[in-house]
Amino acid sequence: MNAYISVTNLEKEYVTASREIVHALTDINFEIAEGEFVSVVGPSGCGKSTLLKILGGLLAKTSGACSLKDTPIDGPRNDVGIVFQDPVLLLWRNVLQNTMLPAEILGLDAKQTLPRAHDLIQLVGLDGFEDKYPHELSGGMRQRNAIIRALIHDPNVLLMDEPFGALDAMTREQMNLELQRIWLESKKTVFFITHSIPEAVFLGDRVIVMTPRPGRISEIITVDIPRPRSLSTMGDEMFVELTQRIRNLLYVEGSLD
Amino acid sequence: MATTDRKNEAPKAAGGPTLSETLLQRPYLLFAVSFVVLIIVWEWTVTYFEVDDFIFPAPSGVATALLRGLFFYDVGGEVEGAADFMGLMKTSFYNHISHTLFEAVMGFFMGSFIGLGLGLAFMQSKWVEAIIMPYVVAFQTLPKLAIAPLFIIWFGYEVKSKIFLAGLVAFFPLLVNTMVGLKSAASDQIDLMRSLSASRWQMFWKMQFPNALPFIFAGFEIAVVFSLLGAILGEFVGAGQCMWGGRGQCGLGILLMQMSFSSDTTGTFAILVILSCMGLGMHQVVRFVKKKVLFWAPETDKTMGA
Repeated sequence: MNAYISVTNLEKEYVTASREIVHALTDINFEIAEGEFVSVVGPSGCGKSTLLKILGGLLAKTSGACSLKDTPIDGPRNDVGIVFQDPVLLLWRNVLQNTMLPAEILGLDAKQTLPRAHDLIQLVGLDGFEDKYPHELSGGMRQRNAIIRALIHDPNVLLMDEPFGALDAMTREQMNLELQRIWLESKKTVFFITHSIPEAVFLGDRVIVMTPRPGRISEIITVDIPRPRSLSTMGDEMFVELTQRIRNLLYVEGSLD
Repeated sequence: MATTDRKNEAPKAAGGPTLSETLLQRPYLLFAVSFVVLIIVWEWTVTYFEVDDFIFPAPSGVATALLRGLFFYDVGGEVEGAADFMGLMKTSFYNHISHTLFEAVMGFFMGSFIGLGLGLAFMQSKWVEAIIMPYVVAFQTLPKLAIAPLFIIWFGYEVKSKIFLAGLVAFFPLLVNTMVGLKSAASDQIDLMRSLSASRWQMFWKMQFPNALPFIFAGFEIAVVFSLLGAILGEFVGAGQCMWGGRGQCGLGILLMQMSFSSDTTGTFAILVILSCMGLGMHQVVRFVKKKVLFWAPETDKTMGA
């Protein structure tokens, strides 16, 4: 496999206030190909968010190596976009202004990014809401705004940290379909963290299953279901089998209480 | 059955909204009704029990004193009849009101903007905060009344000392609220800005400062009420000459003192009505600006550092 993102022997330790050492991540090894959609599933405390922050250059690793496109990740970089669990929209900016935030900060030419912003707004069906502020939007619309904000500067990699965790079940399914569509159109490399096993399988080319204490990878499962996948895919035999397998992995490890 | 249950709960609801429902939907109407009732009960009680004006004046007396002070010459003395405009300005309540308002508003702007500026400065440099903050806190713990005589010595009996006192009490709410507000950014927001390699300047102007605005405006709301208090306090401690002519000394605080010396309780009540209207008015102006600036913020009361 041609590795685009590569992580080898990654470790992360925290020292707590009471001077205890906590192993947040131990022995993490995986590779992600360009344009691949990789889901990460695991219970709370398995270090998946820590892993995402290290990949995003927001957190320093303790040891090991991780690289993107053959350059080590040692800080935030412009070819990565991050979507957080909360939309983290700036409340005093409307949809268009929030979408344009990265372009402003990175000092990109508005002549090129503004049409792109309008395209993205249309892509996620927010057209007509350009001048609406976050308090006027629904939860799903806010998260869509956050996703296109992460795409405005056309990064190669999209890191998503449980982006749909706060949405209701039906909105969440809609967002899953939408994210798949966006991904199929934009062909970004996606690293997608979730709590939900069906969501991980539905979206991922592969699913990294993680278990806590210490946070490590239990198994990496390939999802060989053709795309585009629809909601009825969730009833397929293969889908059910894969979700069951992941569920077993998590229960066997005794990590789900 | 559900339908009968509902009927049992609200049997009166069938014939349109009841009186209590109508009133609760219109809080202003409710206030107006309760106000009228209060005034009537107050007037009746004072008259019936023959309470002396010196102890507790009737609302009719307060209203008369108020109207006389607002529209005629010579407050507290002989009523000489309706005045020409300039005469009215120099001798009626207006001269006192304008002095106190001027002191309070100037003090508000001075104190709150210094508080805001210092709050911003503290957040830019841990050194500045560490060195200056202990003095600020120690100073804040001092009762302002105890400092007031010093301000008279330093800045004189005229308006300057009153403005500085009003500024002093307006200063602290802004300092504290600015500092709390600038620290209020969620870790996610910081991560978002960091992931874009935002400079410190961008971090501040695009995220931290707008984030602090609801707190800063909560500070303005407290400071504007405090500044009126500061101005009155300054006038209590030392009276100055009128700025724009007129006889004697000016300021509502001074008028209050004079009325207290002459046992004019009715007049005192009239001044209290004016002060309360001024406080409400100034607060409403700040709230109006706040609503315009913070149209994006969910309505919450972020009140601290009072």
